[in-house]
Amino acid sequence: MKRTILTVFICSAILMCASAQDEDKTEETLKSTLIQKGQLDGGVRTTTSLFGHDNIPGLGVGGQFRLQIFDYLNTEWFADWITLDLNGAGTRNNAHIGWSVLFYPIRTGRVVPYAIAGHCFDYAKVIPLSTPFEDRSGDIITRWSSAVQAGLGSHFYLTEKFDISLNAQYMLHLGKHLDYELQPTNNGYTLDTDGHSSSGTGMEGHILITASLNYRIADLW
Amino acid sequence: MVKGIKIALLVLLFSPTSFGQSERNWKLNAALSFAPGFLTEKTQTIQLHGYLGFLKNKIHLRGDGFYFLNSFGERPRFDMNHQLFSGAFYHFTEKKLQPYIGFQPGIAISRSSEYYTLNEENNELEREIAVSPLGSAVGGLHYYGEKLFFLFVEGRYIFGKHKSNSYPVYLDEFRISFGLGFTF
Repeated sequence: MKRTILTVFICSAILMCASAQDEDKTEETLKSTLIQKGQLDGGVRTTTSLFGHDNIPGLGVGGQFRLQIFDYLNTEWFADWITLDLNGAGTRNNAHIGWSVLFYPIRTGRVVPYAIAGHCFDYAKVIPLSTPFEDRSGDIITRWSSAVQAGLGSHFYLTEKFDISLNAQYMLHLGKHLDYELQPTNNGYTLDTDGHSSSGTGMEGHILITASLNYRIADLW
Repeated sequence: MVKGIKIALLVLLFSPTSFGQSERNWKLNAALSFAPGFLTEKTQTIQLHGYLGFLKNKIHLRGDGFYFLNSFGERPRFDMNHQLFSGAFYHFTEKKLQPYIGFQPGIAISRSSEYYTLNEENNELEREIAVSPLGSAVGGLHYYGEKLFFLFVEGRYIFGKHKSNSYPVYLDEFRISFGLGFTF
């Protein structure tokens, strides 16, 4: 009986010690293991678009995955849906789907700054305001384009697996110009489109400020 | 001796730290509630609110859905305003009573009850359903019972704008939820 009690006691003690050691190790190595190759994160994001075609801010929502290739290099795969109210004269919708590379000059501590650059595909749709007396669905214009973006940001780790990230990027659209104009009137604004979805080549840029919440899903290698 | 080895093996096999049977440090939470909302111009709404969440180390990852039931008051604005959110919360303690704050981006699937547009093809008046981005800041309290159940109360400020082919309408709203949940 004594031997049985002793065996149970020793086994339990070993397990408790092992568990306690794991906790200590986690705490000690936390800061140095936040950013490592092979990590896969998933997250949601909210984006504000500023200083674009019409100088009107837009609000967006989206999601992302991050797959870290090397200790100093991460990749981000994202999709966003951004809508803008064109001063009450219409709506502009933008969908972005793309990828970015994140470079970490410093990767210790809970605050990890990074430089970010990448590419995305962009779909834009401009919808002029219709009323009970006027149907302007024929004036809707759309455009598919490609864009490049670059900027700076930082991860803020609240726990080993969870971080809040904030970045600001400039996005430059490459491709045809989306031809519309907001004209001030005595009673607000009116949206003029020329009926063509896009015309001529032109460059159009805007700033994107993105806040995201991310959780580590797996450590792949 | 053999008996001792058998007991040791049994202890190891069924110990809390073996084979993922360790005292689990995460929880799955699912909850349901009615959620009254408050808009400007003395207008109120009522929604059915449900969520599913994964809570570990004070971080609660949650997906929330609001099913619009009705609105009352001086300016009801929408006859459809269902909303989906996904985001994270920070729980300040791991005790029974857990205050928390969080942020969730989301979308509104909404239709204005005020602004109609003409469809020239069939000469009828229509209203378009739009999918608009949202943001929401949340604060609340969880109270965990002995087993399985928890109570929660939370306040949420939602911001965004319904943008369709007609006039834009603000989706800004303050919403309260008080309900019961299951924890696994």
